[in-house]
Amino acid sequence: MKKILYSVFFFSLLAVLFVQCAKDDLSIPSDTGTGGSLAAMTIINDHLYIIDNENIKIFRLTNPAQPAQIGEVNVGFGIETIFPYGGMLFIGSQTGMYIYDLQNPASPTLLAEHTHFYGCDPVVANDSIAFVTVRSAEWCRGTIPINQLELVDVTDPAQPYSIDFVDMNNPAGLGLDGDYLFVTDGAAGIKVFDVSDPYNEGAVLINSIPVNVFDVILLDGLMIAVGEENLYQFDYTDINNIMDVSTLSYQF
Amino acid sequence: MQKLCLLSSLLLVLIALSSCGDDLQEDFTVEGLRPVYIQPEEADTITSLPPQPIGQLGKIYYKDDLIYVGERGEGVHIVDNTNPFSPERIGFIRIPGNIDIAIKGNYLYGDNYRDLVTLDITDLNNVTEVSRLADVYPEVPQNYPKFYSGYFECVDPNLGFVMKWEPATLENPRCFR
Repeated sequence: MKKILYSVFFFSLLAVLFVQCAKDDLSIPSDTGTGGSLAAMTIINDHLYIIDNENIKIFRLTNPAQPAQIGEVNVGFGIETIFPYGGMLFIGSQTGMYIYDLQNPASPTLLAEHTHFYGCDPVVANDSIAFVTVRSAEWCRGTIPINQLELVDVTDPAQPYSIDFVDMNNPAGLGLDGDYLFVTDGAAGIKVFDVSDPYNEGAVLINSIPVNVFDVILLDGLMIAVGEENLYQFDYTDINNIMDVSTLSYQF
Repeated sequence: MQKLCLLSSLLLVLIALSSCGDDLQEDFTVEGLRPVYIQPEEADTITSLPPQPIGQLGKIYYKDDLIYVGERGEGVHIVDNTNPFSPERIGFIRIPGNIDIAIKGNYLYGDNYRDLVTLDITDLNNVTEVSRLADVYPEVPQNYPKFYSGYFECVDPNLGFVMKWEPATLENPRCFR
């Protein structure tokens, strides 16, 4: 009997250790971090991509202490955000979205340009859809008052086309986690959309969070959201019941 | 001759009216932007500081339980997020003019006005500049705020370099775009 108890104890200990190790494996610090959708620089493996007003500048990070510029690609006027996905760069500009292929990481090549009205517009994407916010707030010098979320089919990234538009208040940053899209919409809060069936349903509003923020980072159930004076965190593990985690503010 | 006289008197009246208009213009206050200056010799000095008050937050970056929160034009707040229920500001990296950062390993890349700087962040209390590439970024207009239309306080180049623009209540601003 004692023997059985011992082996039960031994095996449970082993199980606990295994679980712990698996957890540790998952949390090995990654080499590069995660930026928000408004980022204007991004690192992919050994390359740093920076956008200025109209160019992508490419730096080699083989020696990470000494970035070396190895290329420059002229994109067009007013580019503002850079989002890496699936071996491509999605560039948001004041006039549209550009998709660049990174087969040769040192030399991005233009796959397509998808233009629309004048306004600010970060991009996030998955294999089939790019989500673009278009806003004509004062900072963006928009000429026509347009505030929208645009869904663009990028199944063939060389031939993007619009499939849906959703009216927004003052959309800025956005984040995508599986079937859920989070769009910061100024004073209207963070809007949560179900985008599991974009071709038939478009983006379906399922929830919203009443905070005025302009960008988010999604970390597998934890959302970090930034506003002018506050840094909020939310637990969205249950999408229908998003919970406050913390608020860091000036008064903190 | 009579016609000419009529015309000139009309012109005189017009001039009188327009100058009157100027004199009559009342004092006004309006929400706008004002420049925050930095001395040129400070502009490329990177410093590790204790936690700083939050002014106007910018972009965010996450790596290894730390959140790097931009303070527009001034640098980056470092927030220890080991426990997301009680994030803690543990320090500030002052990078004048900074808007964007990205991190690989122990190196942080960021814009410092027109330069791209590489910082060793192994010791967050003592961040050091390890390299700098000059003029990676294009020249920024110094005399007006980019992507903005509205009133702003005119720039006085004698006061230094414009570090950033901040929202302010302005009295009789003379600059508008």
